[in-house]
Amino acid sequence: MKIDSMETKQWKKLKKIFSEALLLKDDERKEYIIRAADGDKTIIKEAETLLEAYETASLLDQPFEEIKKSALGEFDTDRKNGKQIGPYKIIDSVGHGGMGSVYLAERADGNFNQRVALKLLRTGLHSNEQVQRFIYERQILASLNHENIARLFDGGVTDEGQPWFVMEYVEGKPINEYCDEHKLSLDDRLELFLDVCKAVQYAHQKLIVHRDIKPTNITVKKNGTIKLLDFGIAKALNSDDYIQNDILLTQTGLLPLTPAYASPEQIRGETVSTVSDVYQLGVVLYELLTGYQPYDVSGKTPSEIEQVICEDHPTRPSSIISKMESSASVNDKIIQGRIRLRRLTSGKQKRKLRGDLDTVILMALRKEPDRRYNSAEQFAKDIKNYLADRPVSAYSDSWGYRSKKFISRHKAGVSVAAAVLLMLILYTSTVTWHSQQTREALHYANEEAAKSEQLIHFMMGMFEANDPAEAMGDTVTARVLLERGIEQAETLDNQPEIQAQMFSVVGKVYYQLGEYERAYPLLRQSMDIKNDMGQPDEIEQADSYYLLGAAMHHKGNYRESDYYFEKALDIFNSFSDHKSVQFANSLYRTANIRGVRRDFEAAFSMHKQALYMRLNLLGESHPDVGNSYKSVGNTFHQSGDPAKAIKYFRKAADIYGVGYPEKHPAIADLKVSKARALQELNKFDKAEKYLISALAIQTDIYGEHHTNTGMSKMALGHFYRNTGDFAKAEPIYLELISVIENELSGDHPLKRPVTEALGRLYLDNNEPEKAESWLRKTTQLLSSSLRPEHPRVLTAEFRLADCLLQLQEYEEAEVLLLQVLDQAGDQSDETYTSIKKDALHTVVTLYEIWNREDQAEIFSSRLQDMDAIE
Amino acid sequence: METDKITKLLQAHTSGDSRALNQLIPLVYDELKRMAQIRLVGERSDHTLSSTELVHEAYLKLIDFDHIDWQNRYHFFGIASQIMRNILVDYAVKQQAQKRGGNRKRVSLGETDAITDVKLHDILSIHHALEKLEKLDKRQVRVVVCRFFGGLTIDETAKTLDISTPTVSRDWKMAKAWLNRELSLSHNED
Repeated sequence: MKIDSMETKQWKKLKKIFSEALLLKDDERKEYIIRAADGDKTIIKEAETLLEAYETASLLDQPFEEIKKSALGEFDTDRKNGKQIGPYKIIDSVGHGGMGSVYLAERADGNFNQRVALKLLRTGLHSNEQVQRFIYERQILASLNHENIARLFDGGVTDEGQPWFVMEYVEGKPINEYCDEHKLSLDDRLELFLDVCKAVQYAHQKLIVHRDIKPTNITVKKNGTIKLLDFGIAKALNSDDYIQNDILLTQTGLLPLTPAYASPEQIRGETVSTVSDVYQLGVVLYELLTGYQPYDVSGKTPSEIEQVICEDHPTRPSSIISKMESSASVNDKIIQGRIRLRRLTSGKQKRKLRGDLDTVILMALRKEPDRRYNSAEQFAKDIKNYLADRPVSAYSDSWGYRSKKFISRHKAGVSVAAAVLLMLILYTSTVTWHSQQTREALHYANEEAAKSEQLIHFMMGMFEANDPAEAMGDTVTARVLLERGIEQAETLDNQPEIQAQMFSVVGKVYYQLGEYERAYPLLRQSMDIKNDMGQPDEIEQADSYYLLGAAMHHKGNYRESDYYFEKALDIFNSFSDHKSVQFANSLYRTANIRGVRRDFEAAFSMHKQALYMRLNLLGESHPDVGNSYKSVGNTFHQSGDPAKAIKYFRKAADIYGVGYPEKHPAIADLKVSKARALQELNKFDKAEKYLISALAIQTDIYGEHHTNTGMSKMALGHFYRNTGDFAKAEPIYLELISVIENELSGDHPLKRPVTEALGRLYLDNNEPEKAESWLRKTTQLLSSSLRPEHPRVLTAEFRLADCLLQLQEYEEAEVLLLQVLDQAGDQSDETYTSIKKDALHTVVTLYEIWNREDQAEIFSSRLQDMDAIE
Repeated sequence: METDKITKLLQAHTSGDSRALNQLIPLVYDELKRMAQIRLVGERSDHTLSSTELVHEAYLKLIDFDHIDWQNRYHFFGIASQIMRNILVDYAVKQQAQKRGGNRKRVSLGETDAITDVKLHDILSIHHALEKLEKLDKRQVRVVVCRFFGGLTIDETAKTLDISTPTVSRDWKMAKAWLNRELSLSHNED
């Protein structure tokens, strides 16, 4: 049988049988095929071999991303050696962890020979807001300048939204390994630990909290110096302090919480402060001195861990050895070995620790932040007191205080346990999330779950591992658990309503966690099921559409997101007087898309509607209301009413002024908007002031070389050019173009506009010698990406011709002008009319200067014809 | 409309005009990059004037963005997927020819050294298998081109080809099975 000689009819039949058979269980397929093929042996054989082939792994399931990227010269995320990230070139891979990968790198421009550690984080920051926070935090961290803290040199976000940091490259060992390897005595360990406290104290004075102090983040170099790694990285990635209210913007929180070192307040997701670091220092010291961690969290269930860390009193350092000695499961040799490493016999160690050291460490480990040492410095001071045989300031925890606290805290037990549970699940997954987000996600889940008894069981089933050991092991990840939930839901085909709800719950949990790729199909499936059942709750459906749209928007799929927003709007609009935050958000986002598509009228009315709805629902001082005011202002400006625009900008400024710090990207953006409107009202002084101040803010936040700073700078350059101040415009453009050409990638979006601006500037200022090369570059840049008859290409060519005319390069000017006229000739579009006229004018001038009157005559009459038509 | 030009160039290339590809690539380069999962612009929660300009600048290189209305872009995706197929096949053929002919000159499409022979071989075998499938079922081939070469989702494919999602899903499954079988056959023949 020859496959490709199959008849159409046969093929159609085969297609049907294949698709139907796929829906059946394995053991039912064969029988079905034989029955359906109706004796056609070719079809039977075809169907069977195809089904078999379907089950094998397919090349087609792994699209050739790698080849595609290479074929298109793209950035490859898997092979990084030799790759460039920012101005750094990766030399070697150092390690991969949950948060991302660490590479050895150096400056690509060879400016410095220094080798650095480059951390490329796994989680993408996809919203501009997130990126802005990240960069802002990075700059604060870069101000840490201490011999015991690994310096943060640089950081940024790749085009794919992956944040990266460049830090001092430190070779050394984690502090606990170092101490054991060198068999340091207790006193030596304490001395070394004092250096750690000093470094932490320095950062605390700058109000920077580490949040993840643990032995692997404290490296000791060969020469015995301490270096703290990853200072504040957790915070830099987590923006919730700034925009707590907006769940949508905070999904990428990423706290690398290590349960064994986490403070009770971190476990509970409460405010983290400098005393949280004091707690973590306490855990590290405990481990350094005893070889054990204060709490044994291994093999425990999440609620047990929450109980242990938030409620249990830690074993006194001096007693942990005895406790371990008496535990049958621990091999004596191991304990003896640990003690020997500290050059002590068991009895000696106990005696040494008992008393002051016990009290000092336990003081740092207090559950209540305000009852610990209130700074790393105080902690260090007490250690120094101990080393100098002075009395320590720490005092014992009283039993009564403890039990009182214990009882009052148990009332709130259940939900905290649940939060810890999910947080731990997330911890075991490759990416960890901040507990705040986790709690929000769980809250969502709970809220949804409360809708039906069955859903509660579902949620329980989802989070209950069959085997307690499994729950803590490496194998169970958040994904596994959520996937388990999906699997459960998939078995519920006969109860579509519940099934839809379940998909929706898991989808929303994924959405909350910022996993849009996962969220999307689930939300989609849930909605499809609901639609199939008929009579869905329409508002709920609209909310789902909005969510789908937002998920797509986050992924950068604007077409899709637009489609869903429109669908959401269709439904919302069909209810008279319906008001909701989702409705307002849908309007706002759709309006933005309309604005980009230059449908200003629609953008305007939608923005207004969104504004009033937000005012109504969120009050007058919500940042979203500010955004709406700004957007309405922008649409006023675009539709030719700058005076009204300014009124709205003012209202936005009032709201931003209250809610944002003085130097905030939103404020800078607003200033640029204002300046443009002011320019049109001929209020140049004010406009200039705003532009300068916006540029200062952007430079401060993003640094000199960021695109946003460049945009701001270009706006200022344009301002000077438009107001005829060539002397001021020129250096701005020149500086900008040098940054773009030397520091940024060649394909930078600002390259073409700035090149064009320089050409125009020199041309307008009667400096054709200088203008020529810029104008040439502009035409090259434009014609490399646009079709030859595109108006922008023609305009650029016309300008170049004008310039050449002034330089008396008549031949080339003629060629160009005739080319422009030829390309524009067939176009009926209005934009071409002015290009044609300009070109005709110039060509007439050219021939007149060139003394070719005949030709001048011809084109002159063509020009008159054109005028006559109008 | 620009898409007409692209369609013509594509036809020219498919029917053997090797220069056509060089004219095609700059026209659709950026959109192809996007399809290779590169984002041109990050998400912005609000579009200010300046950011709108930035978006425009990024889109400037897309074919006639201003003149193509949103829905018609699906048509473009279909074309872009075919172009992606042509580019990859072209690339694979050139690479293999170079390896055989000992001509060390690089193809100008970017990095080339990292690609293993196996993958180049895979691209070509899929391409040839698709040519066979074409004789049986043109629509299945179009689905594979969109999904595999274009990287489109089932949904996008459905909109691009103007057929229903379940149809895309069925076609995709069967084409995959068929190609799997075909590839394992041709592999055994090697």
